[in-house]
Parts: sequence; structure tokens; C-alpha cells
Amino acid sequence: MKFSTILTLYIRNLKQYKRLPAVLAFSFIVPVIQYLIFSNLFNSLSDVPGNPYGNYPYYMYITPAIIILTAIFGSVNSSAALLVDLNTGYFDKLRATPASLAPQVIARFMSEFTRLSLQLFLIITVSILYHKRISGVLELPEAGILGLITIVLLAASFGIGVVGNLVVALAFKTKSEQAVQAVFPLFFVAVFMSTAYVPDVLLPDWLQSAIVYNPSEYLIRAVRGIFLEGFTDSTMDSVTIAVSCIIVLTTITSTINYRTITRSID
Amino acid sequence: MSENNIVVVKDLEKKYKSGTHAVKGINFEVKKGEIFGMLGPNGAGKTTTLQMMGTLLNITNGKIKILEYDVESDSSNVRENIGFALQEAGLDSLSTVKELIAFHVKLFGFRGVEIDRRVEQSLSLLDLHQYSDQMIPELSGGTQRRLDLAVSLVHDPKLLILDEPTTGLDPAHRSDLWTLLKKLKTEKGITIVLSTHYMEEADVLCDRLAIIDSGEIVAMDTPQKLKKTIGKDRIEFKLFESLSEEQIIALKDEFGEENISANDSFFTVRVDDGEETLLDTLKIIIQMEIKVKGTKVLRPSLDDVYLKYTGKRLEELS
Repeated sequence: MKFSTILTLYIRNLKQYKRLPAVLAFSFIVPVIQYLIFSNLFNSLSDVPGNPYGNYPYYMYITPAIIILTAIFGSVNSSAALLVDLNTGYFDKLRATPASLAPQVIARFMSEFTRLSLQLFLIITVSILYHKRISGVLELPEAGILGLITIVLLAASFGIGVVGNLVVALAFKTKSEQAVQAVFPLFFVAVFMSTAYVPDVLLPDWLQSAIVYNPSEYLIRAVRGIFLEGFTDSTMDSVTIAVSCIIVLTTITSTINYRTITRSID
Repeated sequence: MSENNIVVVKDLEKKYKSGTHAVKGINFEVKKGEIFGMLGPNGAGKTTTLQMMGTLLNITNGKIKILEYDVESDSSNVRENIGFALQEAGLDSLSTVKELIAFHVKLFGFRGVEIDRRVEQSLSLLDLHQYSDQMIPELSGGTQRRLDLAVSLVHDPKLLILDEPTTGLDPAHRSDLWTLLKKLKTEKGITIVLSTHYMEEADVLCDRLAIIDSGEIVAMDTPQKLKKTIGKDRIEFKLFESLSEEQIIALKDEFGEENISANDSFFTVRVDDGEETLLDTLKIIIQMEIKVKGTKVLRPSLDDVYLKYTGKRLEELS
């Protein structure tokens, strides 16, 4: 497996996106709309007594949630270009060239990671501009550029590693865009059943107990910690837990993915 | 392995997890510069065999060597040296003709001016210049096939594997493709292995042919020699009136009992070369005062060969 082959495939994949504008627009516009609507609709949540994040405006509280949602939206759509190749037979055609199975899958994940990272930077830029519009101050979050890069890396790793692996496995198994899109509500519900939109003390008791089993909760805590508080000790603890969670889940999902892909050629 | 053999397939077997035994221990060799065909109906195991040769499917048992590289243990070297066009022209629907060819040139490690040179060469070879900036889904089926061949040839492969290359093409495009494949063989010396269920294609194109049925090769030789195994040509004579007993006896005396078969409306005479002997045969028959309405020379076809070895007519199966 040559790196130059992976690089050639990676560049080709990136060029493909200019011909899939709907995929790019859909996975970016929906989170932005949700961000703008939710931050206005639930603005008064910051004033609810007992809210531990009461000193932050609500739009800042939900920014991490929107970042994660963008990562999930973008990752579910990561199979779109792959499905085009699978369904036209081009994926198999390439397998009989130096772009065999492994280079194609690696290059696909690399290009999806790049695309998703750019989308995440874009959504963070939107939140910074929105903050300027409301407060009149153009400022970066407490953790600065390094913090934003860490947020993007965490969210993109979760998106591509966990969600991306599952949707790619599903794409290989079903070769159907509808089947792949059908899993999106599962992840959507997972984000809602966390502290993404409402702090834990304001959640119903049953949900407070349930969120510890929700992997996306750990990612949201880490991203929120970096975004609102900077690299504090408690944030670093959350980041460590989130990274561990991503590694474990990515290992599981990539094993599923590997088995599904190898079965498809046996 | 002989130096002349580009492909050696030995005891090749493929069992799918579903239990389907698609290929049942086949053996064949393909010599350098040869067009080798696999003729059989859908489901005979042709595509499975080609996909194993092209590293697309795992092998259950047996060995395939391509240019002395083992397909399983040395698959990357195999992929560097083959061109493979699948049954359906699988192409990137999100790029233009020129972009796709350039991408394939880069995939094989070519850089700089060599990319432009090879793109130009491919466009010219397959006569694709007029489509170079067109998006691939806008092309006709025939043009997509040509493009599929173009991208399979960008690296000057030593072996070209084609799975049913003309399926779905109209007769004109089919004939163009045959001409092109012959040109690739004679001008570039490319060895070609192809599968087909068109008997005419196998007859016109292939130097040697394997007839494959239910995962097994039932016969293998040149199309001419395979047809020879069926026997002589037949000349069919349509009759105005049925033959009399005396006329039948006279025919059997003249041509031999084993070479005559007759019914009420026609009879046939088996001869070595139907076209060559037609006139002489007709003269003898007229001398016997047999009233002939029409004649037809019937030569053994590959369908007859298929019938002989499998008990089925390929025309009906396809």
C-alpha cells in the first residue's frame, strides 16, 4: 500500500465534493438553523434558578451541542460519495488497480475527516460571529485557537471514528442511501438525551441517570468544558474521558466495519 | 510455468458463503498475445473466475498466477500489471472524461508531463476527444464502454481482463469494439481474457476458447477446432415432394448411409466443406431426378459445440 496512492485518492475525493453541493449544504445549514432557532427560543433557560451555567448566555451553552450535531450530520452524509462509487461499480473497478480496498477506505476516511473539520471550523466561526452580534465583542473562547483546534479534532474524531464507521459499514451492507440516512434519528436522539441543550440538574431524574450510558454526553462535556471554561483541570479530565470513549467506540465500530467490508468480497 | 504463459489457473475453486459452488476446480493457461475467451450462459462461473483473477474475490481453493505473480500473495503486483473492465462500465459519475483518465494515470504513479501525454494517448486511442470535458453520466452506453477501456489501458497493462465487454451494446458499437480489441492485440501485443455469452463474439475475437458450464470447463480449444469436433458441414435440400424409397437408397449409395438424413420436406447430406462441394452435390442430386426447391449450407456453430458438451443450447440459455 503506497502513500502516494492514498494521497491521489484523497485529492480525488476532495474534488468530488464540489459536485455534491447538496451534501455539503445539508450537513451545514441544518445545524446553523437549529443554532439560531434554539438560541432564541430557549434564551430564558439561562435565567432558570439552579442552572449551573446561568452566567453564560444560552447560545454559548448550546454551541458545543451544535458542534457535535454538525459532526454527526456531516458523518452520516460521509457515505454519500462512497455510495455513488459503490452503486456505479466504480469502487470495484478501482479495487483492481493499485487503489485496492484498504487505500480506498483510508483515503475516504481522510477526506471525510478533512471535510468535516472544515465544516466544524465554519460552524464555530458562525457562533463567534453570532456572539459578536449579541455582545458587540469579537472574541475567541477562553481556550483560544488551540482550544478550537482541540474541539474540532475531538468532534471530527467522534464523527468519523464512531458515526462514520457505522454508516460506511451500513453503506457496504445495504448500498442504499435511504438505509444510511435512516440511522440519523438514532444519533439525533442520542444528542437530545444528554446535557446538550439542558444542564443535567434541570433534566428529569430518569434522564439524569441515563446520560451516563450515553457516549455523546462525554464528548459534549469535554467540548463544553474547552469552549466555556478553557483548559481547566476538570476540562482535562473530561477530555481524557472523551478521548478514551472515542478510542473504545472507534475500535468497536471499525471492527464491525472491517468485517462488513471483508464479507462483501468473500 | 512456461515463459509464454501470461495466466496460469490451476484447480481453481470458488464456494460462496451462501453455499453456491460457482467455480469447480478449473484449469487453463493463457499465452502471451492471445485473446482467450470464456463462453457460457449467465451463472456459469465466468464472472467469478475473472473477478478472482482481478483480485476482486477471494479464492477458495487452487492457484492463479498472472505474469508469474500469485494473485493471492502478490496481489499488488498483479493489480499494477492488469487492466480490468467489469461487466457494467463502472465509472466515476462525478467527473469528466478527461479528469477520470488523468486520475487513473496518477493512480499508476505517473507524474508531470507524463500525465498529459497518457491522457492524450488514451483520448486518441479510444476516439474520445470530442467528449473530453463531458460529465460521464451524459455519455452513451457505448462511449462509457470505450472510456472504461481507456482507463483500463492508461498504464499499458500486459493483461486486459474484460467481463462481457459488449453486453448491452448495439451491433455497430459491438463491431467497433471487436475491431479495437483486435487492434490492441496486434499493435500493442496485449493479452486479453474475456467472458462472453455471445457465440459470434467468441468466434470472431477469440484465439482460444473455454466453454464453461455450471462452474466447469467442458471444452477448450480454438473455435475452429471446437466446431470440428461436431463433425462435417451439412447441405440441406428443400423438396417439392417427398423422396421415394429408390431415391433414398441412391442417395445413401452415393454419399454413404451415415451422411444422409431425410424427412418429408427436406433431406441433408453431410460433407467436409459445404460451400466448396455444394455445386457438385447439387448436380448429382439433379441427375437422380430429385426435385429441389432450395438449398442451404449448415456449418457447425459454437452453439452446436455447447449442445454437444452440455446437452443445452446456449442460445436458449442466453
